[in-house]
Amino acid sequence: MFDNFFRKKKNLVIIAGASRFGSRLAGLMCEQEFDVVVIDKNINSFCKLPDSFSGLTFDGDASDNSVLELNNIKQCIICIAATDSDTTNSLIAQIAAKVYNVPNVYVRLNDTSNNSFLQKSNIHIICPSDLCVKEFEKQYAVKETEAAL
Amino acid sequence: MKIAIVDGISEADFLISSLKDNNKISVINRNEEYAQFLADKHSIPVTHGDPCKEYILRAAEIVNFDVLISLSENDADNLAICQIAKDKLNIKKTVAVVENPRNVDLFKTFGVTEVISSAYLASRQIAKISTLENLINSFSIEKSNIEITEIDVASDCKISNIPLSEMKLPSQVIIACIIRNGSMIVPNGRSFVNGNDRLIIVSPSETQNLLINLFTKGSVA
Repeated sequence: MFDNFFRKKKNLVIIAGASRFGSRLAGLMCEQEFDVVVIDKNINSFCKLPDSFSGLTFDGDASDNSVLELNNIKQCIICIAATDSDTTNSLIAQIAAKVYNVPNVYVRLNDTSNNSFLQKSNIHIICPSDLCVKEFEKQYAVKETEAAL
Repeated sequence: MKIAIVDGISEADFLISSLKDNNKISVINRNEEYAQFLADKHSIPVTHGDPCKEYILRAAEIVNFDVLISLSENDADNLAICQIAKDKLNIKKTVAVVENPRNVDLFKTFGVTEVISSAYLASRQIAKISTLENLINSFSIEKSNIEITEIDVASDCKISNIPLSEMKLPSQVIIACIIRNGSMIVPNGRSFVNGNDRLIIVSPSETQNLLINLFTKGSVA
């Protein structure tokens, strides 16, 4: 079953970590007809996957490169490191981008102060607190304009 | 040397004990009680906090240190700590201990100077001590068939009264050094091997077991 899944896949996406972010993203990517594999150490995490998810789940440690290899990271076009741990995400991103040359690597980091070793053209950093600040600024600006009127 | 020791429980304690006399040690540990224990026991600077954060490492004042040893239980943490140390704190040499033996080569490509896998080392050591009795240390020269072996001679060794030149050792075997009561003797043909001596022997791999039998049991196989 596993081999069949991977054989015909041209748009394989690996999501490391079935966190809330990872799970919702997995549903979204499935809707857009990507072939998605979600890897998590804790099988209970897969309960969070939405109904729209139609990919595979894999119970294992995504920071172990043998687990990534088993899930055909060599063919993968997008890898998203979305576990709860910054250091684990950073390790997964480095393996994906530097060892397997995955063309697009996204990594979720809560603390972006020490990411100099993630500066590579195929690594994109997503920082929740940065996004929150931007959203606040946006909403606040709207409120200010409304008040001015 | 200036050495930073990050995380780890008993291994950190042991490392500090063996290094503190000749080096300047600074410790960072995320376990508050253990950090306090290490500070009290060794009277050295100890910083408590999450070492994966650059500001905690900076608070420990380890910028420009010679070595950082990262002993955390989590491999990913050890990589992050070593990378911050190298990139941001200008620490020349970083050492990481890893759980997963596959991370040894991986972490080296990501810039960690030395990576040690306890699982890998322990399994090798266990294999060695279970097959070779009395063997203290054996060192293989890479890409050759030569072993350097350290052997403790048995106290009742039967060949102790024969000079080396008459000792019918296999060909290509050299007793490079006899260590007796802590001092070194470079042997010649007239030298004797006594019980309880330690020998350093250079030999081809295939005669290693024969030599071990010869000096630890005194029987020529």
